[in-house]
Amino acid sequence: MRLLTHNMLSCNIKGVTNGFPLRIEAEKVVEKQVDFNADFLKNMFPKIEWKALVAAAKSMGYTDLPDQAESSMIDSEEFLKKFHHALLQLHLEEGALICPETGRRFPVNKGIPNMLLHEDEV
Amino acid sequence: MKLKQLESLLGGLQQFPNPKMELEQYPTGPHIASRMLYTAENSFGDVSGKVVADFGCGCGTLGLAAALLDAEHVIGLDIDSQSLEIASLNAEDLELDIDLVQCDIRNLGWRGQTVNTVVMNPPFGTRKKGADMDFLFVALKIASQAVYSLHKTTTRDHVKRIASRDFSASSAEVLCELRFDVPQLYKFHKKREVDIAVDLWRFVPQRNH
Repeated sequence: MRLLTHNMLSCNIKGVTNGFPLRIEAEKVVEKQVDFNADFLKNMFPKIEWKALVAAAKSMGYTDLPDQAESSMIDSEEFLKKFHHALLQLHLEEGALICPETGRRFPVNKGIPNMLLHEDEV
Repeated sequence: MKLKQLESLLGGLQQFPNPKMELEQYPTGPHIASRMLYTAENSFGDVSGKVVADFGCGCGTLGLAAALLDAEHVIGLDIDSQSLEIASLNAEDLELDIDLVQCDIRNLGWRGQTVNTVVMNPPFGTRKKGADMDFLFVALKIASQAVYSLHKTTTRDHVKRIASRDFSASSAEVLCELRFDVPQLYKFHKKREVDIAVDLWRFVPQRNH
C-alpha cells in the first residue's frame, strides 16, 4: 500500500469523531520504482494532508520530507522528487494501521489493509 | 493501447474460482470492461494520469484496465479476501502495481473527494437490496471528476432519480446499453447462460470544495 492511499483512509468506527490519519506500525516496507510525473504531483499536492504524509513517511523510515510545505515549493524539482518518493514509491507490505482515537489495529498483510469493522463497531 | 489489445489482456485474467452468491460475485467480462475504460479515457479523459478507485473490484478487472490505460494510481476495494488475493496475482501477471484495500464500502472511512474517478460493476442488489445504490452513494462522495457504473436497464429511471435528486449528482448519463453475460455460476441458475441488459452510466459528482 502506498502512502497516497494511506493519505485517504480513515477509521470509521461508530462514535469516532476524527479517525484520520491512521498511525502506521511498519513491519515490512518495500521500495518500488515509479516513473516521475511532475504534473501529477503538482495536481495532487493541494489534495494531500501534508502532516499526515510526513508522519507516515517517518514511520516507514523516510525522513527527508520537510515538516511543512507550501504550494511555492512545487516549483522545486528537488522537493517534487522527495514528494514523489514518499507518496508513490514506499509500500507498506506488513504491519498495521492504528485508529488515532480508539487504538484499534487494522492489520496490513501482503500490502493489503483489512479495514473491515466488527459488528459492534458499525 | 488499442481497444483490442486491452480486451485481450483483460481476457487472460484469472476470475473467481468459487463465486460467492451472497456477494453477487460475477466476473466483469473483458468485452464490457475494455469498452468501459476505453470510453472513460478516450471520450472523457478520466483515466490517464488520474487516481482511479475500483469499488467492489473482485478479481481486479476494471482497476487493472485503468492501470493499463495509464491511470497514475489505482485502488481496488473489495470485502472478500479471496478475490483480493486473485486481484493481486492478476496485477503481478500484468506487471502492474495497484493498491488493494479490504473493506465494506458501506462503512468505508475516506477523507473527502480525493480520487478523480471511480469505476465499478456493483452488485445489482438481488441478494442485498439496494446494494447498487449504496455503492453509488459512496462513489459520488469520494470522486471529484466522474463515476462509471453498470446498472440493470430495468432500473434506469430509478437510478437517474436517486442519483440526481438524493445523491446530488450534477449529471447522470447513460453512455450505452450493453448485454452482460451471466454464465451459469450458481446452482439456482437454470439456464446455461443468461443475457442481462445493463446501462453504462457516467455520473458527475457535486463538487464539495
